[in-house]
Amino acid sequence: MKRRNFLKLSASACAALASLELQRGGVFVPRVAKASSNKGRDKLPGSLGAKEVTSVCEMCFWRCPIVGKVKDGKLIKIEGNPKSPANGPRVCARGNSGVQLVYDPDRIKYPLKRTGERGEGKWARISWDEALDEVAHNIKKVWKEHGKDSLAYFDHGASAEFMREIFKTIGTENYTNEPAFFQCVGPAALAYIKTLGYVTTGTRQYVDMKNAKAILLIGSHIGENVHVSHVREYVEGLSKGAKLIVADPRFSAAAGKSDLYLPIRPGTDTALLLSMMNFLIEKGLYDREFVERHCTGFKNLKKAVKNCSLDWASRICDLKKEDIKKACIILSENKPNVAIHPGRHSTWYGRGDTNRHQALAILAALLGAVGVPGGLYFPTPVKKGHVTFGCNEEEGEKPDTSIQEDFYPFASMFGSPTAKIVEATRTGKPYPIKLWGINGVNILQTIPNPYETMEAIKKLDFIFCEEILPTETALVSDIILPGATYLERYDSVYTYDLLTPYITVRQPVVEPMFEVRSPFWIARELAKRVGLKCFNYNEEIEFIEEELKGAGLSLKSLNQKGGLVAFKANPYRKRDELKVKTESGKIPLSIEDFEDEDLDSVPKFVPTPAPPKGFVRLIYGRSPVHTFTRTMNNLWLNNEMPENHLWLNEELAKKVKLKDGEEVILENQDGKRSWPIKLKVTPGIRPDVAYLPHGFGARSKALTKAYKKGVSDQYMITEYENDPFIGASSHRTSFVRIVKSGKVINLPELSPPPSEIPRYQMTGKGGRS
Amino acid sequence: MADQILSKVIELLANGFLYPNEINCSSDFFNALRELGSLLGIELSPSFEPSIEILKEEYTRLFVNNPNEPCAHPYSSVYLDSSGLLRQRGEEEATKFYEMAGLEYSRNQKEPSDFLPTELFFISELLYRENFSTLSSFLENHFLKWFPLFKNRLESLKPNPYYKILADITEALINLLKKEVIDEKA
Repeated sequence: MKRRNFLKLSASACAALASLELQRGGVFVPRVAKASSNKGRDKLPGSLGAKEVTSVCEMCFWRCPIVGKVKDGKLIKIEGNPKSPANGPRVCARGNSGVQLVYDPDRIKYPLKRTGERGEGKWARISWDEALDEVAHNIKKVWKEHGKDSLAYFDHGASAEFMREIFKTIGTENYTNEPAFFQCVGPAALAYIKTLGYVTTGTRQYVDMKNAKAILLIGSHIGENVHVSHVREYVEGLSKGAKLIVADPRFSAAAGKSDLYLPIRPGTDTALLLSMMNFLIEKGLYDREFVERHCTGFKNLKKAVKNCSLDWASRICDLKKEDIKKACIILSENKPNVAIHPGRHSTWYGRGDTNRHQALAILAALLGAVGVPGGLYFPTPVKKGHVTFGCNEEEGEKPDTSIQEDFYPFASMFGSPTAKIVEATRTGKPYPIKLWGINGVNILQTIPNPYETMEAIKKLDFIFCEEILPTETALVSDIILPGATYLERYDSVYTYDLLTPYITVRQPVVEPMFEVRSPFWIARELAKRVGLKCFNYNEEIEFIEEELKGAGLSLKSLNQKGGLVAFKANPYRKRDELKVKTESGKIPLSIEDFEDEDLDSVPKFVPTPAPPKGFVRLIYGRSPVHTFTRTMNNLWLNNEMPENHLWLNEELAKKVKLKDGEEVILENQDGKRSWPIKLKVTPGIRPDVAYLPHGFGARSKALTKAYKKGVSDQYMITEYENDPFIGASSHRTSFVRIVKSGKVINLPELSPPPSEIPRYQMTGKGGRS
Repeated sequence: MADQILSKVIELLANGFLYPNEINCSSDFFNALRELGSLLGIELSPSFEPSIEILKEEYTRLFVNNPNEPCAHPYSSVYLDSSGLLRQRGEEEATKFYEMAGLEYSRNQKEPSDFLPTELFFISELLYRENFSTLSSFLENHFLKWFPLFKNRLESLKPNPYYKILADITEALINLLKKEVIDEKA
């Protein structure tokens, strides 16, 4: 057939073709030859000659200043902002790989609406008007029918902050700062707020490893957990000769660099810390002058720890007494310039998590390691303009039984405990929760026992999310709002108040792809439709200018200065000037606020149950090239580490004839089984634990690069306890055994727990027993 | 005249690959497609007129986001660049051809410039302008390097007959064009 045969198309077809108002206009425009303003630089190879736009990374939450290199409107490369005193021109593997996030074909491109059953996987692309109207309609409906507290919001990161204003304005008590507090840093944050008067560990950790003479890490695996400036300071401290003590059941990257490695029995860290305090006090090796001048409650502390001998701790922790003593001496000899790292992720065992971090804070105080080089230090606030969005800042009236206030005495400092929101949604008690909004967090890969979370989701009238990628949580949403990546949007102004303070701003490096929208735009448009008086700015740039004005800057002037202005730090205090922001201005070694709530005022060792026979405890940690589940679908990062392997002790493996590299399945105490995973058999882990790098094993098929690669630790964590202070959920209270070729292999117990540690009683029910 | 009609036909196909709307889901559109199919020996049942709702769901599954298996992403970069990412080699190639024809992809468009309908609009434009040298090179050095891969992926998803037929007609027409503007020239 020849193309002239198309003349044979019938008259009616030709008429139909002619009459159809086909879309075409505007796709192409005549090309106008432009005088090159960059003298041919755009023809240079790679990123040479590219336009440079400064911004702020969000491949993790450390938020390093970056420069995006752009050619023909396309992002070519990301580097660190050389003006940044924190990271300079460096970014980590994840920072580099932001390019791959923007151009991932799997990303959510348009608003989507569920068209089949919830979770069935049938969607239709809809317009922004339809999507926002549908979300607003459901918010108003649930609000009217069930009251303000029947709406819950799970949020995390910069992208979620604007939409949080909507839920706060409605007045619900159920917004959660999830997973930042109730699955991560909450217990540690509370311990330090109550001890030192500020969030010594939250998004960031104010610990001066760079100038430390000795560093103590309890489970922190810096180097595998990569935050560029934090790692740089740690490495600089080590290179200057700091002695490193690491307590970890696993021979981590940090353990590999340590002067003293303490392969501690999991769940016994507080016992170790109490014995160290007791030893320092008994032997007079603590900083007596500092304690007398700047601390209260020493007598209570001394009394509380007096029976915590090194022998006792040695038995409880399965450590050599001499090693604990050695650790004490190293710390004492180098006081006050010792970095007692406050940790970050602290939701380990439920009971005792807050006390463990309180113990770390007290240990720092006993060593005088507060406000001094090498110790814990104070933030240097960076001045910027104060911006309010005109949203309701008043707290709503609490319900008769409040999820936020009536279960855990300190929860309301951070929001409503996630576990309680899930429970209320499942059971309708103390009141029903009928709508969830989710933003910046993949709740099914974050909250322990995702099976329970799914049960709750099934009971909702409506669930929506703002997402970048089609995560497990997006898959079960009724409406998905496509959010812009951090490289396609403005956010608020960022200040960094650590040892190298600066002010900078996140700004779009490239135009947003498809119909994705910035979180501010989405929140503002949604608020309008819900009928809330919220967001008195039309676009981000308006409030950014106001914030910068407060720092004597404008966006233009900041950009002229390289997108970042640095300031001098004021992290230390002279001893006679030291005053912490507690009620007394001193550091309480015994916390009355805790006692008032019938909680331990001084840390006490509360044993977490040991593994049931045949099982080992499941622990987990970070991979240096991934951030939780967020980066698993990233091409470069997936290529670097596509799957996780299960670390298992060599001697243990030998006893049950398991070999390195073998593929097995995990079964937990509630009979939940994992997907297949390869074993990493190593002497570098205790025989009573198994370790998984976190974030792998995506269950969303729409994450085409990450799907079914490795095993999700989260789906094996079905047993959790809630910390009695804030209700945070524990993550290291589940146990696993091995299934090989369909046969269950019970793992022998090579380091039996002492009598003080009870054994976990199998309930077979899942969840809290 | 034949090229003007063919230009319009390709424009029709480009519209077919746009998100379902009142135009590409109208009876007139289906009839034109039916007639075109019969000319090429591709049969489309006379009663075939799927609802716009069904096609929206299907389009989303095939081309936007698919919760159950990888989409047939309608972007050349996904197939032409080993990374499989958006806005890579495929887009660079397409952009060079647009420039060669004195055209520029409008900044108002939200899709990357190597979007299948965009490339079809470009072919239509070249036919309309009778710019056969650019058309020849575009088909040989770009479009035909990825469209068959896209079509294979699409077929593996067992698409609704509407999209199967759209892809079949597109393939048949592009092969016809290839034969006439590339092979015969050689």
